[in-house]
Amino acid sequence: MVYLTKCSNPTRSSLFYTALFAWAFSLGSSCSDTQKEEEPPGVDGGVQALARQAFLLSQVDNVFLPTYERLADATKSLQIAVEAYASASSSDNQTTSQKDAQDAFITASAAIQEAELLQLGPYGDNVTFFGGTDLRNRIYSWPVVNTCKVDEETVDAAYSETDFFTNSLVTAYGLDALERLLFSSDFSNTCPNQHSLNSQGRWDALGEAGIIKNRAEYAAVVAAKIAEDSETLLNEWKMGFGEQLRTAGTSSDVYSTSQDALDQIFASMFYFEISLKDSKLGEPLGITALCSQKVCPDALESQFAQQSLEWIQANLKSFERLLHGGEPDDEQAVGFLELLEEMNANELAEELAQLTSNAIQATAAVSSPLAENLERPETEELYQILRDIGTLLKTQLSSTLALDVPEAAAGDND
Amino acid sequence: MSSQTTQLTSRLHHKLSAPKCLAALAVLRTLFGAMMVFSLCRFMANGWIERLYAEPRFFFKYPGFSWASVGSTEVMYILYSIVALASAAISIGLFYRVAVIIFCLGFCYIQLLDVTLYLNHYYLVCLISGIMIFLPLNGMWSADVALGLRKPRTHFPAWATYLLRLQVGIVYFYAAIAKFQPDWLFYGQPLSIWLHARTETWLIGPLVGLPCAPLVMSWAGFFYDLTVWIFLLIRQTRPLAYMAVILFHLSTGLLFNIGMFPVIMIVVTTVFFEPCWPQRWLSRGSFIPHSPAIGSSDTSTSHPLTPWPVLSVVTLYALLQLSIPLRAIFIPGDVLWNEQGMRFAWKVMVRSKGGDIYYRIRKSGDTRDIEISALKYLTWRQFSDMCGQPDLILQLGKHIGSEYEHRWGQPVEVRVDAWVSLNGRPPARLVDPTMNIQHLTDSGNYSRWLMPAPNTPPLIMYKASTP
Repeated sequence: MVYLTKCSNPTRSSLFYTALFAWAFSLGSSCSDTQKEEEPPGVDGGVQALARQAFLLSQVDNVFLPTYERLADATKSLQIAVEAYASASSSDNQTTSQKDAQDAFITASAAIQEAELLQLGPYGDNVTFFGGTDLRNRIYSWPVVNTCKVDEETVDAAYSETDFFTNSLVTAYGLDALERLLFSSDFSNTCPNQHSLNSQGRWDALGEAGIIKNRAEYAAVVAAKIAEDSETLLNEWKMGFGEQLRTAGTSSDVYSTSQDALDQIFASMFYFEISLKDSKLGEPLGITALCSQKVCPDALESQFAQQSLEWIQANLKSFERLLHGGEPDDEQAVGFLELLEEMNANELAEELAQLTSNAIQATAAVSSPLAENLERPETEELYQILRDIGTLLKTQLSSTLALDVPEAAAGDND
Repeated sequence: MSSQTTQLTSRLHHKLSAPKCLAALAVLRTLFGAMMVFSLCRFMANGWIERLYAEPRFFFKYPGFSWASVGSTEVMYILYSIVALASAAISIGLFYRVAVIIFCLGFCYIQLLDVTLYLNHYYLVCLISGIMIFLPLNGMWSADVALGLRKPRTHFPAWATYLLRLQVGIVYFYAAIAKFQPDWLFYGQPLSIWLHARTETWLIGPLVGLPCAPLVMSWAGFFYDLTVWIFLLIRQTRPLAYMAVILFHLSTGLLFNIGMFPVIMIVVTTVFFEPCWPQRWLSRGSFIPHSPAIGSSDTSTSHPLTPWPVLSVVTLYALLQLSIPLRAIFIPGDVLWNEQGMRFAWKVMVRSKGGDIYYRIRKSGDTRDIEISALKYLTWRQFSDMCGQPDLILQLGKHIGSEYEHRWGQPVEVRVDAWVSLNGRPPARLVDPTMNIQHLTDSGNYSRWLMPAPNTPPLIMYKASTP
């Protein structure tokens, strides 16, 4: 092999490349000594991975688990209250217990709304999220809702069958169905006239007493299922998934790097953009194309309990916790803001924190129910703040932390 | 023409016509085909066909290629399968000419379906396969020869090797030129952002997390792109330069989600090897007997000259490839911001953009805007890709405008709120929000409706502390 023998003599150019790559990839001790000394033993990936791991620990222990615990507690209380309502015999008792059930619903719904931005792992869908089991849609399927279906089930009483949840679509149960069952103030139904419920007189045949009774029984079954699924979610996180997130990039079977876990949390935060900003506020405000009127109160999330504004507040508080890695006043918490500060993007961190705080304050300035205040300038202002936050999420935050948007993994890059 | 010029031209003509071993190009054919089989099968096996072609509601078209449309998922699978089969046929050299034509047309068609799928290395694949159509790369080590479908051929005029070398050299050279800008060289951006997220990469992760790594690697990458093709041309430096190619592309492959790019570059860079290197390697290992006729001599003193028309076409192609990437120089503004001259110019991985975009539509004469999120039409992948690209913003805006004109039965005005963060900078407006883009034509003059690039420096990372 004359050719290789000839070429194996090092030349100045060859030495240039050797030096270049030695320089580029070994990087010399001058820029590494300090950092190496500061790394605790057993942590690979330098200070950046260490920061991300601290972030993940904080998110699991201060954000995800506490939220899911509140969710499990609140839905358990909801179950008890709704079962009491269903078993109340006299009409006086029923009125009181319905009020108790409604109050429990409001508390539980706030807990569910706080969990909305945390659709990760078992709570997330199985297309976007590692370990996703679609638990969220079983607990709350909005914006996929069908009140006519709920009315139909009220009449058919299929909820009393053991395989009801196996055979039914998510629109027949969950928080959205429960809201219809607990807060419907009249005895009409939401199905079109040609639906068999009306055309065959099935709804009328049930009578007012039957409707009240069936709604209460149906609500008890649905509330029990929400409580069961919330308990399952909490257990999944406590038994294993929380640990998977904590150990991302080290011993996790789910996340090979801490950046993968970060990407997934970021993907779950896109609820802010799609659901919170656009669907919960943009559409009712008549800003998006789906609303052809000046405003569209029918597009609001909570049609019966009139909790739309409170649910937006709950979403924002959860978003704020994600940013801070816990409660805003917890100095030990490590959230996106701390990661940004680690990247020297302090101004962005401050801007995000300020805008989020402003958004929460702006919700306080809007009166509830939101349906009656859609045309007020305060509501428009709230939307603008959400839009500013959404823009920062999609532009500087994603770019600075090298976060991949959902679906980015399809195909290649260069 | 003076006699000196005539003499020079004649010498050049002889040089370009001189027979070179076909072996290296036959190996390139085999590797190229195998690599593309793998690449295309990945798309089918990973479910990317559905995600890239079935999920989007809107596809961005290249000017003049609006006829290239996405078929049903089944059709796309069939198309990918045909192109993959053609790749396999190229690899083994079976029905080579037909296979390479099918591959080139099919692969180019796939690239034309959606601009957001543009990748520099797939553009390179289109060009290389286009060149391969005109080269008899099935003359050696091919099923066509084994089956007697064509006569064996051991040599081919030198211009083929030189053209392929030029093509690959252009990729590296212009990739270096693209890095010759302050963000890359002075701020280590966007590498700084990307490396920060890749510190857990196997083997090299801890190194790339060091504070000085982005700047060091930015400069190393710049010098590598600027010089590697020169060292590959020089026989004495070629082995180490090729080792550098392997090391560089394996490293980038480990660090970034760049799919087939490293493999493609490692394979196509073999065109810089001596044309007879496969036979020499094989004879060295006694796999085949050493044949002086094909093994030790690339050239002979008397050989037929390549016709001038062929060389003219080759020269024209080379000049085109040299000039197309330069067009950004003649367009005012920062190419990283306005993206004019970004595609087909080998500006590989030189910017990180995060964008947000809303279209505001109103009936002409009305005062009320409705807001349309680009996400109503695009997948997240398309959205994140198009947000920083003005021509795509214009294309979708005009589509939305036409849709609403049809829906409302009257003219509409379309304005854009587009915010872009370039290399970690605070988001800045990319498009003039007062400009009605509905009746703008994509004439290439974007200065009328684009905002100037931000003049602030990119994100300067790394404060001296640990969490």
